Amino acid sequence: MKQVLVVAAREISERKRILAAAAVAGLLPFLAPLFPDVARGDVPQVRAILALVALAAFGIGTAIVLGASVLARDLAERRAAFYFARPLPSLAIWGGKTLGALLLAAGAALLAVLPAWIAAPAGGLLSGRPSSAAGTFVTAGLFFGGLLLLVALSHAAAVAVRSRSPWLVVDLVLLVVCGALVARSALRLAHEGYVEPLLRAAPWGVATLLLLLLAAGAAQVAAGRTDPRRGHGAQSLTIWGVALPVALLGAGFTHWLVSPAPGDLVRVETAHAAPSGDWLFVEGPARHRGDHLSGFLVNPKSGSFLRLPGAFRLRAVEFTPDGRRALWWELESDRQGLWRLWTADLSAARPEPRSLTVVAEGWPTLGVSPSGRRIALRSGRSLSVLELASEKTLAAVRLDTEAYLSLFFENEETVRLFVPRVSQGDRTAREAPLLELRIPERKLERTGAVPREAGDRLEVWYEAGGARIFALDANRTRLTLRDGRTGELLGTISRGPKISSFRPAGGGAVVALESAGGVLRLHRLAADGTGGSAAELGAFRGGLVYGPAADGRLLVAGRTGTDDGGTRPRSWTLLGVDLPSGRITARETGLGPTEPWRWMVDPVLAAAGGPGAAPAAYFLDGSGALVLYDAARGTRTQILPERR
Amino acid sequence: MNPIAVRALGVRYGRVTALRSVTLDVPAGTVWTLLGRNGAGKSSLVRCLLGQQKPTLGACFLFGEPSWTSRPAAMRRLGIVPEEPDAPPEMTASELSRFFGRLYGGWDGGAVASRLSRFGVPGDVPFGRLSKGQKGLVQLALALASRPELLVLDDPTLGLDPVARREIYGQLVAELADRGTTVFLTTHDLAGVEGIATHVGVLKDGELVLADELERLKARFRRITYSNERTEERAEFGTELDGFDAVRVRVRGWGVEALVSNFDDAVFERFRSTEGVVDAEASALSLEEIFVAVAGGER
Repeated sequence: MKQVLVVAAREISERKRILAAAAVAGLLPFLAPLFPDVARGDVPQVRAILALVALAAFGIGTAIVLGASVLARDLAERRAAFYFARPLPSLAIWGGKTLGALLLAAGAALLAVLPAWIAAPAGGLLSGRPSSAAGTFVTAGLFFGGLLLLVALSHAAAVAVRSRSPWLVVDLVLLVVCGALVARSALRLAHEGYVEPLLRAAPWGVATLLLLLLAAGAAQVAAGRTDPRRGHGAQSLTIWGVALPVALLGAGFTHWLVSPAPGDLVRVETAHAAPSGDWLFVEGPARHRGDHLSGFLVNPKSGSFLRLPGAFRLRAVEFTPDGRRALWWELESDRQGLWRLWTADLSAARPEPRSLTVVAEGWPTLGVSPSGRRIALRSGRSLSVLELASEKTLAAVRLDTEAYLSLFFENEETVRLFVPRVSQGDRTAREAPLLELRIPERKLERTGAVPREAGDRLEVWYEAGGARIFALDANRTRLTLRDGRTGELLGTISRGPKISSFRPAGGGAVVALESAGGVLRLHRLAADGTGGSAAELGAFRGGLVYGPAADGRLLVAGRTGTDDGGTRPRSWTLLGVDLPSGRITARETGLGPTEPWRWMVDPVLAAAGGPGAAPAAYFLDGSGALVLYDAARGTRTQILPERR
Repeated sequence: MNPIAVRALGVRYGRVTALRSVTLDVPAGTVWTLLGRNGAGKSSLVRCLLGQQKPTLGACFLFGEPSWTSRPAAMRRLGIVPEEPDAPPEMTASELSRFFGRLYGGWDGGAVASRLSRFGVPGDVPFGRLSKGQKGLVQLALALASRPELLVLDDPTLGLDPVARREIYGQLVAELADRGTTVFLTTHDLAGVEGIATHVGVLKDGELVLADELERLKARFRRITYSNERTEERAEFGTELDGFDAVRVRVRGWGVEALVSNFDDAVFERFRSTEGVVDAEASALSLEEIFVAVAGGER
C-alpha cells in the first residue's frame, strides 16, 4: 500500500498545476455580476450554474485526460521503464497511477466548485444535497465511482489507440458485437416490461464494468509492462474474455427470460376466449420469471400459440367475431403514452404479429366489424374507421365529448357509440347518449339517449345485432329494454330484487340472476316483464350467467364471498342449469371466473345460442390453473399450466 | 550463483526475430560488455533481463530468480542506467533522489548529492532541462545510490561528449574498485569500455556469436599478414591459412591480411614455415577491430 501511495503522490506532484487551475476556475463564478444581462437577483443562480459547469468540466475533463495519459502516454513515449526499473510491483504502479489520477480529478472538481459552494446560502448551490449520512455516502460513492470509471475507460481506450497493435481491430469488432448484444438485450427486456429489474441491474452492470476495466488495466500493466502491444493484448483478453461471455450469456438469458411458452405458466391470472373458434388470451407469471406477467394467444386444441409483450405493454386483446384474428394495443412510447395497434391472423399455420400504422394516445377504444375486415377506434376526441388489410381510413370524425364511449359495429356500415355507465358524479349524470356513425356518409349524429331515471348509476348494454338496448338502473333493480337507436323505452323487464348478472335469452327476453335475502334465483323474463320459469340456486350473494345455449342449458357461477371482482375459486360454485325445467344438472366447486368483470365492459351481450353463449367456459382453480368447465357434460379439463 | 544468467532467450516481434536462443552467464564481479550493431537485439535482451518484457522463448535470471516473475525483488539489488533518460522531465535530481529514497531500503541520498556535485550537475534543475550528458550522469548517480550488487547500463554513453563519457567510466571504475559491483553493459563505445571490460559478448542478428573474457579474446583474435611467392592465381590466396579460423581475409597488393579467431603460436610457427609464405607477421587486434570483424558482416 505504501508503494501505491508513493506512486500516487508522485503523480499528483507531477500534475499539481491542474489543481491550481481548478482553484482559479473556482473563482470565475464570482464574476457573474459582471456578465451582461444578468439581473441582480439572478446572480446566485448564475454563479451556481457556473460552479457546477466548472465542477463537471474539471472532474470529467481531468479524469478523461489523466486516464488517457498516466500510463498510456508513458508507454507510447517509452518512459514506462522509469517505474518498472524500480522495486515496485506492477499492481502498485497501476494502483498508484490510477489513484493519483482519481484524486487529481476529484480534487480539481471540488476545488472548482468549493468557493461558490461556501459562498452560497444554505441549500442554494445544491438544493438537493444530501442531508443524511447515507445520502452523503451514496453521493460520494457515485462521484468517486464515476470519476474512476472515466479514468479506467479512458486508460483502456488510450492503450488501445496508442499501442498501434492489431488488437485494436479485435477491440473495435468486439465492442460493436458486445455493444449490440447488450443494447439488444436491454431493449428486449425493456420492451417486455422488465424495466424495473433492468434499472436495478444497471448499477451492478456499471460496477462490473468498472471492476472489469480496473482488472484489465492491472493485467495490461502486469503482463505488458513496457511492451505496449503485449499490454494491449492482455487488456483486450481481460476485457473481452469477460465481456463477450457475459454479453452472450446475458443475451441468452434475456432470450430465455422473454421467451416463455404457455407451458411455462405457473398459473393463469387473466384469460378470455375468442367469441368463436379455439383461441384464447391468457396471462400469468411464468416459471422462474418472478412476478412478471407473460401474455399469450393460445389455441389449446392445436397447441399453437403467439407470445405477446409483457403485461404492462399490452392492453385490450380483442378477437374478431369469427375468432380468426386478434388485435391488441402495445405501448409504443411510455413517455408519450402512445399505443400501437397490432394484429395477428390466427387462421395461419404459424400466426405472426403484425404492427399496424395505427397509433393512439391515452385509452383508445376499439371495435371490430362483424366480418372482421374493419375496425373502429376512438382516441381522445377522434373516431376513425379503417380497413384492416389496407389500413385505409374509411371515415374519420371528431367527437364533441371526452367521456368514455363504448363502440361496436352494428353492421359493416354503421358504428354505434354510447356511454356505457353513468354515475351521479358524471357531467352527463342524467342520461347515456347514443351516437351513430354512418361510414359511407362519414356522418356522426346523436340518435338518442338512455335516461337515468332512478338510482345513482345507469348501465347500458346492446343486444347482439344492435337493435335493442338493455339498461340497468335503480341500483341494479330495474332492467329495461330500449330502442337501440333512440333509447326509447320498449318495456320493463324486471323491477324487483337486485340483478347481479343477466344474458339475452332471445326475443328481448333475458335470463337474470336475482339475489334477495342471501338467495340467488335464476329467472327467465320476457321483454314485457312477464315472468317465466324460475329456479332457486341456493345461498349465494351474487353470480354470473354463461349462455344460454340454443337448447336452453346454461352455466351459472354463484358467489358466496363479498368481493365482487374476486376470482378466488373458493368463493364460487358452478352450476349447470336446464332453463326450461329450472333443474340444476351439474355442480362444481373450486373454480372461479377468469374475468368476472368482463361481461360488464363488453358493449354487446352475446345472443342466446350464438357465439360465446354456451354452458361451457374457462375458469381458474385454486392453484391458478386454467380449466375448461362444460356444464352440459359436467367435465373439467385443465388447459394451462399443462399437466406434466 | 551468477548475478545474471540468460537461457535460450528468444524474442519475436510478429514475424521479426529480435533474439534467437541467446545463452550467457555473467559471473559476479565482472564487467560484462555486450556489443552489437544497431538492431542486433541488445535492448530487447536488456528489457527481458530487467523483467520489463516477457521473452518469447527461454528465460532470464537475476540472482538466480526468473526476472519476469521476481522483478520487484531483483530491482532492490540492481542499479539501472537506461539507454534513453526516462525520468519525468519536471523532476529535479534532488526530487528524484527523494522519490527513490522512499522505494529503496538503503538509499544514500547524500551520495547522490556528492556525485552530482563532483560531476558539476545542478540538483535543482528539472531533469528535462539538463543536457544529455548531465542526464546520463544523474541516472548513474541515482543508479549507484542504492549500493547495488549489479549495475545494468544500456548504452549509457550514447550521444555523450568525451568528457561525460570519461566521467561515467571513471565512476564505474571507482565503484568497481570500491565494492566489486558486477556490471552488465551494452555499448557502441568500444574504446571506452576496452579499459574496464572483463568479458565481451557480441550479438549479431539476434544471435550471440561471441562471448568470452576480453584477455582471452584478444589472445585468440590476431591479424596475420604475409606474402606467398608461389601462388600466382589471386583466387588461391589465403588457402594456406587452413590451420586457422579466418574471420576475414583481404588480398592486398603487397600480400594477404587475415584476421583469425583461434590464434596459436605453434600453429603460427608451422604456418610461417609453409613453403612460399614470406614475411609472415602476427599482431594484436583492438576490441573495435575484433567487433568489426565479428559483427561487421564481411569475410
